[in-house]
Amino acid sequence: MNTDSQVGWAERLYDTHAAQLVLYGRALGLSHAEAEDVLHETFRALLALEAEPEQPAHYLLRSFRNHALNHRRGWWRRLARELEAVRWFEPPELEDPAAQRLADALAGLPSEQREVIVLKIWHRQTYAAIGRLLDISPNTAAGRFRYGLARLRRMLEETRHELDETPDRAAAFAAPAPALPPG
Amino acid sequence: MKPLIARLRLLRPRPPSRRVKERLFGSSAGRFAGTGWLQAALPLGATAVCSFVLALWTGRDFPGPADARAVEIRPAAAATPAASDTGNHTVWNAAPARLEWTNKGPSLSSMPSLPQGETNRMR
Repeated sequence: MNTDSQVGWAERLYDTHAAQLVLYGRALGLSHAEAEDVLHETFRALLALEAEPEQPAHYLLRSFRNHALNHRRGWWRRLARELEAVRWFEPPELEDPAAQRLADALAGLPSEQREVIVLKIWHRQTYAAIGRLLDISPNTAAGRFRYGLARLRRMLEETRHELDETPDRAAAFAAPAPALPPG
Repeated sequence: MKPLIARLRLLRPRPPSRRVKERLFGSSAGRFAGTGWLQAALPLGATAVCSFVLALWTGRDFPGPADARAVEIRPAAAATPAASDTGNHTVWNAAPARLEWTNKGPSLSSMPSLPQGETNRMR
């Protein structure tokens, strides 16, 4: 049975971490609906605890990751994920085409780099904490972050070049057609 | 152009749907569902009266303030000290009893007990 105080701290943790955990789920390769399911399982396990964990953020991340990795194994779930539309962030940001490109580029990173970037930027974890969570050294975590960012920059540059070329092509397409020869 | 990290930070993660939180912690709307709506909607005094009337009417316990659940009753004047022994039946000094509302309806928590030896004599 959950006491009021238990529900209190768990709800507070939910309010501060839920959205970031869903994003972490996306970085781990889950669909949004799957990430919500894993979030639910994680907090159900948390509510079974008698007291708040000593390092709640780290506990949540580890628990969420374990649940997510278990959840991801089913092949039919992988299939459903492929079919789901990619939308990782809130819509208002994505009305900006630059933000949309950034989100797309992030989704296109290798999962190891994506995971570290999400943990570093949205969960504000240190390299040491990321290393403990993923069972890697802090240097490896830092390396994945750097390589990930470098790759993101490259991807954004490529997209921008493509966009720069597009208006020319559009202009050429929209140019008036040569006049038909008389007769 | 802003640095890449700053631009990433500007992206707000898409939150989970409200249903997830409701399944875990219940919804604020759900707290007013069922019989609890009465307690939430009416002032305290009205709730006490309604709870009392509903409990009497249906024989079930309804939510109400705790102090409205216990009503002290005193035995009628005729039931207090009378002749010590009238042959076939004995009247004794009865202590005040508390009438309490339980899930099964009203019940007396402390019934006056027979003085020692009275039961045998009544047979």
